[in-house]
Amino acid sequence: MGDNIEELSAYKDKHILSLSETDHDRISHLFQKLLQALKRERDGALSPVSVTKAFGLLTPNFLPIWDSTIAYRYDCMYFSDMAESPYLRFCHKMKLLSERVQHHVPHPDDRALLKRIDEYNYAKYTMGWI
Amino acid sequence: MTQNFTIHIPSQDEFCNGYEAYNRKERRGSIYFEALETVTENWGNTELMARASKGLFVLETDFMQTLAFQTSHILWVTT
Repeated sequence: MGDNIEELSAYKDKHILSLSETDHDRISHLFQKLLQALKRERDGALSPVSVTKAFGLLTPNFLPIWDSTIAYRYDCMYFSDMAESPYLRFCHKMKLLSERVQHHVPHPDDRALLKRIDEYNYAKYTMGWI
Repeated sequence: MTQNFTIHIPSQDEFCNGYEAYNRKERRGSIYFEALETVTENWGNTELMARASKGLFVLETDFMQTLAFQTSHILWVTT
């Protein structure tokens, strides 16, 4: 994390609504770095889900959270070692969703819009609660 | 990349029902806020930031193992 703190700091206060294609290279780079840094010690397994969980803490307003079910339901399915491109597509889809649902959350809110979206996605797609 | 996206856009009711269901049923939700607070208050202290993040990963691993077990159990029961 120490190696990437500068890049993370640049994204700390950014908002998903400002996402553009000029961000792609940096997001891909950061994604790969975290993917390797978070590699499971026991068997070297890579987890694109863990990477986005970390993004949810480190860049809560800018980079969205997914899991494999959510990714699949948004047509962004990935393989562990080839996840950046589907993730970038997912980011743009979550930007579109953010634009459409930003007025459906409490104002002010105690959490990021992307956290609300993750809660919705998780309830609807991962758990089937609604 | 932004062109021609077709995604389901929920109505206000559906979206609110979703995040309300999450907050009603997901009992591990508070861990995110504790980790977020640690990260925010200790920004730049990479050791603490990493430790806070790790709590979520352990949680995710546990959850996925439980989900995998439940799924395999359901498949076993229904076949």
